[in-house]
Amino acid sequence: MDVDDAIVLTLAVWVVICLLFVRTVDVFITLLLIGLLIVAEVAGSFIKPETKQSLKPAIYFLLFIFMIIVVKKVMEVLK
Amino acid sequence: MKSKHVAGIVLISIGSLLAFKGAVEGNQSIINAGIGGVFLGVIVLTFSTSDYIKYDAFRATVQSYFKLMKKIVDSLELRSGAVYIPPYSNLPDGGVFIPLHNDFDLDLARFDRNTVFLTDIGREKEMGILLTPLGKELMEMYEKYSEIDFENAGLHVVENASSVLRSLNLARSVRIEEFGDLIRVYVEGVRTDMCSEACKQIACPICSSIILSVSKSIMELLIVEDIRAEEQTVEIKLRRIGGIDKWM
Repeated sequence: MDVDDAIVLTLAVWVVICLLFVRTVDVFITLLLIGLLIVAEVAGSFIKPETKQSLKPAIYFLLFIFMIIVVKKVMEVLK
Repeated sequence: MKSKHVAGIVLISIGSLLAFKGAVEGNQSIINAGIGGVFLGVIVLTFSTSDYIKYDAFRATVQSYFKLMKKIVDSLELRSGAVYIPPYSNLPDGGVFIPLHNDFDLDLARFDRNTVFLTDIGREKEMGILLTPLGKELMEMYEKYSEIDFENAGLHVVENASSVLRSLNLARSVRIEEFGDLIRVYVEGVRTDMCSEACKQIACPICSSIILSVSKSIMELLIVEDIRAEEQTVEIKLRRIGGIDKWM
């Protein structure tokens, strides 16, 4: 199995585990972000620099959604 | 279109449909399944950029060049092990000098990119051939993947080669031991059968890239004393012979 295949498989398993145990969308997205960040960091030296670059938009997008979730939660607490 | 592209597009499509259905029905589990599908589709598409050739094709194309190089060295009756030269002003990519005799001398000021045969020299000790290292491109990949410039970065950075060799399915790990002037490199789990004792003069791209990386990381010239290939492990014995200034 290629390193790339192992990375995709790891993320697929992570998605399935999250699907089984998480009900709410915001927690699910946060967990996806955490999984992606861990994989990008741990397997960073095995990933082609071009692939690393193309992963960045996905990470930024998930971070943006995470930011919205955080702002929403803060607003809820403040209310 | 590659099968990975198809799989990625199918995952994104199914994921989008599920997310839409979940949103209409107000079911968060289905929305999650949809988002998971889109996420995995994007990941599959991102990781489908690598194009690998089959090992047999690699062997068939590289082996003949490798044999040709060995033949040139044999026919010139070059005796000494190769000397790896780190990049410097005359040779920005570094070089491999194979001296005519074991008791050799070097004048790096004579070398440049266009020099190959050093024969029209008064002193026989300085004769030999100068080649571009076969592993130059691989070494550049090590630097790119690890995002480290190996120049003077210290021996430990060469172990970053492990991850590239592993992801290219060429070898499992690279380990380096230092004993004074002597450096021992162990390349484990080597997948190609190109590595042999002949690598002492014309190293295969894997050994060559590692030796050049070692040379660049300490910015010193290295002479290959011995290369042993046993099963899937290659042991490279190198000796430091001083920096660029010493041989200028």
